[in-house]
Amino acid sequence: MALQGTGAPPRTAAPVAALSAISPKGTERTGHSSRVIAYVVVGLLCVFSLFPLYWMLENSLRSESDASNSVTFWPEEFHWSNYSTMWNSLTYPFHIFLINSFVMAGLVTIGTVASCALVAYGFARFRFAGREFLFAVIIGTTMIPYAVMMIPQYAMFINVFHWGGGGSAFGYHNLYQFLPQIVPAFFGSPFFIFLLRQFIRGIPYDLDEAAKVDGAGPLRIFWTIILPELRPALAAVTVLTFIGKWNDFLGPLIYLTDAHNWTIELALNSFIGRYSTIFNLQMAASLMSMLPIMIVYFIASRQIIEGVTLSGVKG
Amino acid sequence: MAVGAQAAPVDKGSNQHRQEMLWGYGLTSIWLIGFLVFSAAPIIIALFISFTDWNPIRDGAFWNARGNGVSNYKIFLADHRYWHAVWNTIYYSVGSVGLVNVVSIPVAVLLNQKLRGINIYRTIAYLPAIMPAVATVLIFRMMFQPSSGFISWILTRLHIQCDPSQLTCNPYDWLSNPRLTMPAVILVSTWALGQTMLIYLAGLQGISGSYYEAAAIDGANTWEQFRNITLPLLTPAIFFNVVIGLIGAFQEFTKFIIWSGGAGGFSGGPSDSLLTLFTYSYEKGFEDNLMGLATAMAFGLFVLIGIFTVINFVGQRRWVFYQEER
Repeated sequence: MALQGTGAPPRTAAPVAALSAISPKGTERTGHSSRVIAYVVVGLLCVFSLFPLYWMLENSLRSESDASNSVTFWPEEFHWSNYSTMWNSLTYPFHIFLINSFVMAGLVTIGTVASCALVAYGFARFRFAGREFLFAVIIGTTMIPYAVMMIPQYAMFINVFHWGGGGSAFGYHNLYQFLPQIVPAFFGSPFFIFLLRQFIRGIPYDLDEAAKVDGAGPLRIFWTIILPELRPALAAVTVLTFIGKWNDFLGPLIYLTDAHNWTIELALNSFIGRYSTIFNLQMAASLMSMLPIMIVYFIASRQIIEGVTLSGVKG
Repeated sequence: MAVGAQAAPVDKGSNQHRQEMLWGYGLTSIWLIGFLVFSAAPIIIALFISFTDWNPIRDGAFWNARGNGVSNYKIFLADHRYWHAVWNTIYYSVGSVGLVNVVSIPVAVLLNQKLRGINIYRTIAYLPAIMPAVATVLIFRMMFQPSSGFISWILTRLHIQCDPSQLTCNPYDWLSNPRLTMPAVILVSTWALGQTMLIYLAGLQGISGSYYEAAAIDGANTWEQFRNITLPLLTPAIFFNVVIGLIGAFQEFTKFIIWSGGAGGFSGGPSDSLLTLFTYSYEKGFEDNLMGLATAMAFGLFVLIGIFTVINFVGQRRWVFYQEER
């Protein structure tokens, strides 16, 4: 039987499809006045969500004394130069920090997505002794708090692997400091393995069988059958991992001690240390750290919302 | 579970069976190797370190540290700052998880209504949840500035607070009054309620409309429907959000550090009001270089998380309502 013969795969088997359109299922009996109230409250909710972001934008454009002394909702004057001042106010210019954040989050994302998909495939489609036990271990590891792992992992990465710094690579000093955060990502993340395994189990096994009859090996089946079906889930894992790592503060704080390696979050931390009362520049710098995430969210809000919803439903 | 979830049966001992096992071990070993190196080994190292006085500046590598028995555990159990940190950790966790959940349920109900442009409202309401914590706290630190901030401006206009421009006025100091710092951080955490709210929204989607139709026929009003249908059927989602929320809140780090002025000199915030178990462990380990003590303290946090999780799972039988099909 040719692959095409199986027809369109029943998408409803995949939980994402079921949730992809979280359809409004509100009560219909609401009267006219209560609808007006609903719109007003929803409007207030949006103001609550967006106002701090507006506040950041507005104050990033005010002068230093205005921003630290008074409250207004529109800048007295537009000081666009705040951004260039902010850009060069630390030891290194801000694009260094943005590049560091981007490369670190990007590599972590690639590693997480690739490894989790392969491991999940192994758990979902192959039988082997001890499979259930190993899977239970995966679930168990999601329960270990990072607080307990923080120091021993640090001890291991610094003392055993010598990833603390002192070496140079690609002409850059201390580039090794990134490894403690990037390398583990290539060995899978328990929660996403769990999520993707549930997903793969929802893909009909007939498709694998048909490919097998056609002489496809496990990797080929993974590439031609599993991956295309897995795409919505992988999209969610991709954006959630990227955002999570971009926003991470503690990991970079522990390992990226060389200022040239700082991520944007570490740069912000240093910013309040040095310029604790210069609010206009603080806000400009904050906006720089949020903007990339806002862009990602603008492009992929559907995948993010699906992913989070799934994590709750499946978790 | 879906049909076809299991691999097709194969003859035991056949070549095909061996092949399948090899692939299974091969693929899952990616994770297994990572688990052994990056999780299992560190746990063993953690146990070792917690019984030593490892100071990386003095000793270099951790295996050069001297053992000192259980004295790390004795030190922190006798440390009044530690118990203060236990209290702060519980204060923040229960406060923020409680507030976020209480606010999220009505918000989710609202965002479950048939309104024009509902997807836009949902997208906006969720946005704060993915904003980086450092920048979020910076924005709110500015808004909570004692006399020049937006919160102060509002409170003055509502006559909750005196006018800061008057010399006699002593405005609320959310950044350095030890009684106000923690409430402020808890309030800030409600901005990012999207995660919790979305789980409730998914839970609401799963409630069959027929329940409401039946209740409407019986003459139940909106509140009675919410009280007797929505809330009981939402209890599994509440349980999930509380468990996950508490585990996360016990390990909150960034908000306390940034609210008290950034890492590098963190010492618990004003009068230790932002000293939690995690930040205290960080302070001891990475600022005072007392890694042995810090690791022992982290196990203390582990125990606290364990206690709360067990309480949650035992307690759920009393109040979590599962529908038949579960």
